[in-house]
Amino acid sequence: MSGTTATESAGSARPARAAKPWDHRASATTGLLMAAPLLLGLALFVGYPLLRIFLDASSGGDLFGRYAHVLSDGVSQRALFATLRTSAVVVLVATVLGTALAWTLHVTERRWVRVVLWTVALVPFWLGVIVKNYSIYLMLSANGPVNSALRALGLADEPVNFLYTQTAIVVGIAYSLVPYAVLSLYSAFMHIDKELLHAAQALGASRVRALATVAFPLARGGVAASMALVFVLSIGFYVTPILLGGAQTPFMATQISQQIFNLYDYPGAAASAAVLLLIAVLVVGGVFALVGGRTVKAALR
Amino acid sequence: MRAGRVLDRALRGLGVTVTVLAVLFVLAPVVLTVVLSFANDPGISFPPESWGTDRWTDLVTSEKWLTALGLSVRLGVCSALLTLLVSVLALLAIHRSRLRFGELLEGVSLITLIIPVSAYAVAMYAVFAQYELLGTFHGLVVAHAMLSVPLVMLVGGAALRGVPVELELVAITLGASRVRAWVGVTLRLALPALAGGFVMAFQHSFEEAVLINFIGGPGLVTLPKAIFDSVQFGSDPVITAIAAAIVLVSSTVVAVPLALARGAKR
Repeated sequence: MSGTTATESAGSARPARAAKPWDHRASATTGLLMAAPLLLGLALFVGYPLLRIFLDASSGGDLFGRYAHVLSDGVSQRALFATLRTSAVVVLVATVLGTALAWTLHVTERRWVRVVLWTVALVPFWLGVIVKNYSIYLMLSANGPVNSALRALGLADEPVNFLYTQTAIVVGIAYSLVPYAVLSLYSAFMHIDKELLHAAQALGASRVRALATVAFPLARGGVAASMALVFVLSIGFYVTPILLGGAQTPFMATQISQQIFNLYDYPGAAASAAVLLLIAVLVVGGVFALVGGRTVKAALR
Repeated sequence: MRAGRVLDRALRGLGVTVTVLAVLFVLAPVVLTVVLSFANDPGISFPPESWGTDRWTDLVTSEKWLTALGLSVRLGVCSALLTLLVSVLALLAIHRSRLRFGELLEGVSLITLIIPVSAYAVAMYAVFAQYELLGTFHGLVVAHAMLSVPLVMLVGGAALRGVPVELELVAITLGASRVRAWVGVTLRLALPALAGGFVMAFQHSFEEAVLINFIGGPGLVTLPKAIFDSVQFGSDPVITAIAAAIVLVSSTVVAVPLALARGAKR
């Protein structure tokens, strides 16, 4: 940290009375006391709960039985695969849209484009998942604008049933996660010097080649981190699958809610949650190992 | 060479198309919600057959929705204040004390950002039952505060890094105590970011719709939970007005502190 040099100069400015030079920073004890509320909160409401999931999933002497059930039982397997597949599609959709928005934000010289795109990127960020999903619900409902447009164009005679399908879930989750993709991708693109692209093109490369051989290698790590972030957030979605997919739709969130509120099977729900957590840890850990912690942390900004 | 140029043009066209599509994808549902809140049809249909403000008058006269709104606002303010208190103390400890492992603590505090939220809700359910916090207001305040801590740690941390420590040293040299230098110089300079952080924390609590289903119990119905329950069992048209109100308020009120926070961050 930058503290050491400032400390030394401050120390020499004021001659030390004791052996220990004066330090502008508060003592470690004071620091510990000030950090105590956060430490306590993290221990009681983050660390311990997460540990509890694993303890409860293996409670009653049944170490791995419930995990095996999550992975082998038909219903539960279907929920897990649906969650992973839907999330993979969400990652694709959010990354394509996010890349277009973030890259345009990075390279555009026009102020109004930047204002419009920042607004677009941030509006759904501030709305909350309920309002966002309700808007999507309105869009896709039987007499909503999408169906009206299809009918007006003569593409459908009867209302197409979009609600309560996996497509609706993909649209709903992607809609919520586009801002995360834009923000994390933007922070990855931010450090790419536009002059490098100009240089490549001046030396005869086509735009496609400049993007593929200059910009892409520089952005690769950030894109991977962004995709991991979107994936991890997507597998945990609770509101969207239930609202847009229906309470019976196969998804980890609906399964967990069933297990807790209908079957009163808390240990089973804990095992489902533990599987989700392990997948998240694997994905984030894998990307961490691939591109380094700095890039992952940058994606969170 | 020519093939390259055709490809270039195709790529540019594709880029513009996808960007325009993304803009439409994001804005259309929001605009639609606001438009439909002024429709008087009994069900949802677009284009609406009749216009009016029935849904808005229903909203402001409905006790159910106003109670939920009141609870959400109280919860948001309390949890945002708690978040700010906990995070600012921790940030000062990390950046202005000899506490070791500060960087690590800052990293660990971000963990709730990347936990799949339905897994976290299950975890909190068990722990809240054990702490006897299920269905209590103060329990929700703490839970929401823990969810918002990473936001304030990120924004506030960036702001604190931007305040030169020399300014504090000057204040201390001129006779200020350490606490006075922190409050009067550093925190004051970080104020725009902290205000932004407060709004972010409030908004994060105000929109929270997952944990509340697990730890809120039957008695505490926040606005998101009321909407969630209502849409699940046949939609109440009043929701359109609520959603539109949230859209309008958050896009105007939130834009200002957000701009402040971003300005402080750059």
